[in-house]
Formats: sequence, structure tokens, C-alpha cells
Amino acid sequence: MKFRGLAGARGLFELLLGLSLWAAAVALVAPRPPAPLPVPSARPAPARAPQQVPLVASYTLVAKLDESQHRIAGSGTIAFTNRSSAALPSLYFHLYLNGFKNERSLFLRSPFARGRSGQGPREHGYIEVKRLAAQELGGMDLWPGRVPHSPSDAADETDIEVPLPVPLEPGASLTLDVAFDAQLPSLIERTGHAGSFHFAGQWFPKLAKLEPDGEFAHFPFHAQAEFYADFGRYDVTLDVPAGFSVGASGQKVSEVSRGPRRELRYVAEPVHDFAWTAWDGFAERRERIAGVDVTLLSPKGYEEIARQTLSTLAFGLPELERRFGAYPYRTLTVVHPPQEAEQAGGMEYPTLITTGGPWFLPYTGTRALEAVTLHELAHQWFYGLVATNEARHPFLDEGLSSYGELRALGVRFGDASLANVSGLELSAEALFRAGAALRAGEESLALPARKFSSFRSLGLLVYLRTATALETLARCFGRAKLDAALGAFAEKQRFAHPGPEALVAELRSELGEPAARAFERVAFERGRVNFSVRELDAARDPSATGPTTYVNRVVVHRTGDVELPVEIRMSFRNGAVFRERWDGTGPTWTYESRGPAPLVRAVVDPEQRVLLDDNLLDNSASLAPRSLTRIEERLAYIAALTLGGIAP
Amino acid sequence: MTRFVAIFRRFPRTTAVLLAAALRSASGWVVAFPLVAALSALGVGSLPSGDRALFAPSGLLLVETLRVGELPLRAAAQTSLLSWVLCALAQALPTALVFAAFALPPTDPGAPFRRALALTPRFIALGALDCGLCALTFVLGILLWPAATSASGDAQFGLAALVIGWALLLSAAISMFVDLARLASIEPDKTLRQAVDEAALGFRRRGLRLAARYVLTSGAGALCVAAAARGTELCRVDAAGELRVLVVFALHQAVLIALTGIQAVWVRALSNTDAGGRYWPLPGTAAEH
Ligand SMILES: [Zn+2]
Repeated sequence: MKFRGLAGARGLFELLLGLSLWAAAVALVAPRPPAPLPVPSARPAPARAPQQVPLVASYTLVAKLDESQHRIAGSGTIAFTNRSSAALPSLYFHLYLNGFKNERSLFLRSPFARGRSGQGPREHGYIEVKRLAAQELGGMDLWPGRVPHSPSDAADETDIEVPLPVPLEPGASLTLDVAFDAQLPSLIERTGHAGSFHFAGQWFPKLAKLEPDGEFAHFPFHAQAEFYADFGRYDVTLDVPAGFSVGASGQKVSEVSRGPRRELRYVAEPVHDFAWTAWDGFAERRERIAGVDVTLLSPKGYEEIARQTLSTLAFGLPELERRFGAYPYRTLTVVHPPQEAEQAGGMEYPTLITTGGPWFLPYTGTRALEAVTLHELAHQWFYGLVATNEARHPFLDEGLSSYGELRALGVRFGDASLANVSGLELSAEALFRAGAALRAGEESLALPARKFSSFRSLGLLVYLRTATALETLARCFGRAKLDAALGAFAEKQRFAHPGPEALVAELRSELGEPAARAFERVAFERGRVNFSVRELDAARDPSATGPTTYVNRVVVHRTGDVELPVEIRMSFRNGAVFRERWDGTGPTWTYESRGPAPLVRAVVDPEQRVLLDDNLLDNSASLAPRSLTRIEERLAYIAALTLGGIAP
Repeated sequence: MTRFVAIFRRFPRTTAVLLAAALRSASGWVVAFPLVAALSALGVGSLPSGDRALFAPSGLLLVETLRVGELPLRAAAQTSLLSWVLCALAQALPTALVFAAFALPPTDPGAPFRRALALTPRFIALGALDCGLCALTFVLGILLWPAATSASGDAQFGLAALVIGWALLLSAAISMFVDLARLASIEPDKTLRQAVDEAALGFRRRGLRLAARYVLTSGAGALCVAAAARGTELCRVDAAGELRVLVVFALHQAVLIALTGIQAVWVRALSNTDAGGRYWPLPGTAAEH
């Protein structure tokens, strides 16, 4: 059927008018962008000179990618210096890729099933070391003398001891010639391939971290755990197909084309890991942000994702530098993997982070993209610079990065830091505290990663509860003081591999003993707290003569073992409001008074400072509950709309 | 009362629209009731600012209420869902009222109401058909969505738009078709089967022309709802003052009345009523049938 004559023109007009009405409707309810950022004041960019850090393990490697077999042929040298106080009888190497070698590896057989992703690999991956020859020992190949499996785990091959023929004395160095084949698995836990997309994380034989006492902090690769290593200089030449875009840790120092291949050399220093990606589907964008050369690699066509990521970095980099000290490297590479490789997303490496999310994420009114970008960026401090042991104390890197994410989101987006959908504003604090409350008191935050009962528990406690605890300290004891404590921790412990005691010490010195004690209870002793208004009475005093007198009484309870100061607000029928403070010690706080007006309402912590509170609904009691007209009206309207739809 | 009857006799179609909107609005309150009762039992009324807290920026107490009250709210939501299904079927009555008032020539003022009552069982069946087919489209869209959104590169927008576009087109076509069947089934001597056959014919003959009108009327409805959403946002019910609730309530009722009015306009377009009060199928098309 065709439009004809006048009737046809009228139909066309109606169609166009209808479409414009729809467009107007969508425009009215579409998520609105946040207020533009204030123009940053001119500020000299911090010096980006490499820091003088004693290097322990440095790697000079050549990696050739066979893109059809998803295999990396690696070779080069590892320079290792014993900076501990003891002679070393052995070296320990982490072969993380062997976590995906077979179903018997600790990683894949772990009852917690495949960690973060909840999926195993479709294709296994592994690393095979072919040679590990010590130049100082006449080129002797040490690899045949290795223990072939992880200590006390005969089925796992991720934690390998290599005995030395003579102990390595303190101060002495070894130069190891190494050759290896790394077979990437189908993408799992941030590493592997999906089609022609390749992400190489933990792809080379990696020395375990040498502690000052001469012990290696070595561990088999567990699905819930991350990494730990010494600082060094990484000089890596990547040999990839000519059509592939490459992103890598460090700074690109040279690029040579050889027919169908391309060789790119990257140098990163001082860092404790090196990751890279190669794909022929990337669009590459470069921008200079706060004096850092930022490279963004995102799938072609992800225009809005790229725009939002860069604008988040433009805000986030100076914001996190202000909080945690200058970012000391010249480059930052941000990789947004495509959907088929989403498991490569949301991960941190030195000077390289991966974000993630489907292309339509920017149109949903949520801040998921900003959140993951800021979280991984914060890891450049807590993991990258303050290089804590992620397997032993995941809360020190994930918890502090989550707090950095929470604060940066709050500064940028205010009360709508997580979502703003049709006027419904949700903050990251609201979601973080609710998630944290789901596991309150169940496990200590300071457990090693593999000791958590599940990855979900680890996530709720290590990420959300740590951040919620820190936000509670900021609200109860002063935000400026908490900022000072975290800033001091980040600056003083840079390159120092601290333990949790260093963090607690800064909290104690800046916020005082009660704050430090409260944090210790939560972090190490499964501490929890719940404030509630248990009793609220306003009775007419029968014995009183003269004008009517009321006996008013409020009892506030605190359960749990975390002591935090709170305010109690009492409202009277005549409009009077009393505020009282309680230091939060002891199980109860009681108020009693006589007066001309009866109490109608009592609230403990009315400003919601104690985000750690197990239950916020029992913080108030009222002798005259309000009717729920607002929510009733809204629910009824939404129901009525859905009953008939908006189309005729 | 007599005054009301007099107004109703004078403006039977306006009365029908208002009554249909009121029925729809009342159904909304029925559906909402179990959830509101659960929220009340959770102590939301005792919060310092009452249920204003649920609308407050940041959503701290909203999220907390959902977390703490998860189980009672789940139970209430199931009751609400059951009410919703029953009320959705019951919407056949206001729909029948609009069809009877606007597709039939305005004669005896009481006729649309008597006719609507008689039509309700048929309209329940057609409403169920409408819902079922639209649900099928929705499920199809959900199944196709991962494939559509996994595309990389420049294909992504196109594929997603294709899925959303087809789902929207399909459900609009279903609604148009069922409305044609509703219209055809107004004649008392027709079976439901005959009405559906007639709708199929009408759909083939006038589908494209009606589609333009459908886009126009649904666009007007969408604009009403969106404008009210913006207006509601500006009213900020998280702030104190019962006047805000009243204003929002009035705004929302106005939307429901407007949507019913738009439905009436659509029914007029469907029935192709002319000045003589004849309604579709026009004699010519009926002869070809
Ligand atoms: Zn993290």
C-alpha cells in the first residue's frame, strides 16, 4: 500500500509529528550529563622523572605473538639482586599461566570455582620454561633442577622452587637467560584471547617477591588471589602482526616495521609487573592529561565510551594525585576490551589499566564506566606504587582503591555517584554500605585472599566493607583527618611494600586512638556495630500539679564491638528539638526528662555518619509515625501506567 | 447526584473517559497496596522524615529498606503481581467503555455503559491475546539482545536498533491488530473468530495508514508521561510539605486522563467515524469481505 495524494501527505505528516513527539519524550527523560567540571587552575604538572628505587628483579624480554595459535615465544634475561639480609638457597618463580593448564591446577579445581568470573576456560593455557641459565654460573641451566610442582601441591605448577648450586649472598646478583613459550588460554581472569583480541597478563616466568628477611613471598595461584612482586626495570620488545594495535605497560621507546610484522619496544621503571594487549579491532586515542601521556585503546565505534573514559581520566588523575601523591610515570594506557573479551576488563597493571562494559553503558544513566575507570586508576597507587601483598592482604589494595573510587565518584557526581535514572539518584555510599552489611562480622577484612569463604564474601568485605569503614571514620572523626592519614600512608609507603600496621599507624596519628581502634576491630576482629532506639516513652506525669507535665524517656542501644561516637536527636510535639552526643561506649544510653511537651520522635545518628551501622531502619522511633502517602501515590501511579501502557 | 446525571447525559463521552481513567487509577492503588503495607510494617513511617527518605538523593535509606525488608517486600511484591494480573484483565472494562463510547454513534447516553459491560468478557480474551503476543515479542527481544549488543565496531548501534526497532514495531502491530479486533467485536452478532478475521482484513487494508496515526497517538502519550516525569522530578517530593504530594498526585491523574483521552482519539481513528456516525467497516469494505 502506498501513500497517495492528500491522504498520503497527511499520513506522512502524522508519522513525522509522532516521531518528533517520541523524540521529545525520550529527550525529556534521558539521563542528563553531570555538571561540567570547573576549569582546573593552572598547576605545574608534577615531575615525571623515574624514581630512584632499589631494583630487585628486572626483565629484558622479547615476546613474539603467534596470533593464530595465541602463543607467545619469549626470551631474554632476568637480572636479580638479593637485597635481603640472608643468603638464598633457592629462587621461587610464579608460573601464573599454569593456573589454567588443566583442571587439576589449584586455580581451576578450587571449590570457589573459577574466582571472579565464575567460568573456566574453554581452551587451556600454560607456560613452558625452556631454559633458565645463570650467566654468573658459567651459563648453567638451573631449570632442570627445579621442583616440578608447587610446594605441598603435587597437582599445581604455578609456584616453582629453583634450587641454586651455591646460595646467593646478600648484595649479590644473578643474570638469568630465559626462554619460554606462553600459550594464552581463551580469556579467563583477565588473561588470554578472544578471536584476534589478545591480552597478556602474568605471561612470563616471574620471580616471587623477596622479603627483607630472605624469605620469598611465594604462593600457588588461587582463584581468589592476585599478585605480589619486587620493583624492577622492564624492557620488553613486542613482535606482533603489522595490523595490530598494541598497548603495554611503560613508555614506547621504538617501533620498527618488518614486512608483515611490527616490533615495539617498551620500557617501564620502576614497576613490578608488565602487561600488554594486541588486537586489530582497537581505535587508538591519545591525550595529555595532567602532564601524563594517556593512550586509550577501545573497540572501534565505541565513541561515547571513549569520550566518557577520557573525561573521567581528566578528572580522576589530578583528583587522585591530590589525595595520594604525584603519579610518577610519563604514560598511562587504558584498555577497554570488547564485549567478547569482557573478562579482560576491570584490571590493574603498572601504568596500564583495563576498564570495560558494553557500548551502551554510557546511555544507561549509571556511573559504572566511571566507577571502574576510577577504581582501576586508584590501583596505580594502591597496588602500583604502594605495592602491598595482594594475596596476603587484599584489603590493602582493593579496599583502598575502592575507597579512592568512592570518594572520587562522590566529588564528581555528588549524591548521584552511582546512578541518576529518571530523577532517582543513587550514591555509591548507599550501595557500598548495603553490600558491606550483608557480610557484617562474618569474616575479618584482613584475611588472605584464599581464606575467604567465597569470592562473593571477599568482594563484599574486602572491597565494600573496607571502603565503608574508611568512609565511616571520615564522617565520625573528620574527613580532612582521614584524607591526611591516607595521603600520608600513600606517600610514605610508596615502593615500600607495607603491611596493614602502617595504615593503622597513620589512622592512629591523624584520627586518634578511638578511630584506629574502631578500624582495627572491623578489619582484624570481624567487628560490627548496630545503633537502635529501643524505647521511647512520653507519659503524662500524674503526680504533677499545675500545668500538664510529661515524663519523657529514650533508650538507645549499641550492639556489636565497634565503638563510635554518635548524636541523638529528640523532637517534641511543641516543635522543640534536643541534640545530645554519646561517645558510643557501653551498651546503652538513656535520656529522661520532664517538661511541658511530650516527645514524639528520637533518632540516633540522624546524619548517617556511621555507615557501618548494621541496620539503619532501627535508628529511629516515633510515637506518631507518618503516613506513607508519597510512596503510595508513586507506586499506584507506576502500577496504573503499566496496566495500560503509554501507547493507546 | 441528579446534577451529575445531568452532566453525564450531556457529556457521555467525557464521562466515559473520566470513568475509564478513574478505573485505571483505582487499579493502580489496588496493586500498590501490599507493597505499601509491607513498607509500613518495616517502620518506614517512623523514619525521621517518613517516606520522604525513600526519595532522598543518594538513596541511602531506599537501598537500606530494600536490603532489610527484602523478604517481606518480596512476599508483598508477589501479592502485588497477582493483583496486577487480575487488574490487567479487569482493564478490559475501561477499554470496553472507551470503545463503546467512541466507536459507536452517540445515541442514548446510557448505551456505552451497558454495551461496555456486555463487551467486557470479549475484551478480556482480546486483552489476554494482546498481552501474550507482546510478551512473546519481549522474550524474543531478550533472547536476541546479547547477540545484538556483543557486536564490536560500527555494527553495534545498527544491530541494537534493529532488535529494539523490530520489537517495538512488532508490539505496535500486535496492539493495532488487537484494537481492530476489539472494534470489530463491538457488533453483538459477531463471533470472536469473525472479529479476528475482520481485523486481519482491516490490518492489510489500512495498516500503513493506521500505523502513522498510531505513532502519532503513542508519541503524544509518551510525551505526556515524560513531561509528567520531569514535572514530578521538579516537585521534589523528598522535601517537606504535603502540597507537593497533592501537586504530583494531580499531575499523575492528569496523565492518566490524558492517556485515556488519547486512547479515545485512537479509537475514533480506528472506527473512522464520520459526521454521519457510521463506523468502520465502511459499507464498501464490508462488501468486499
Ligand atoms: Zn580492584
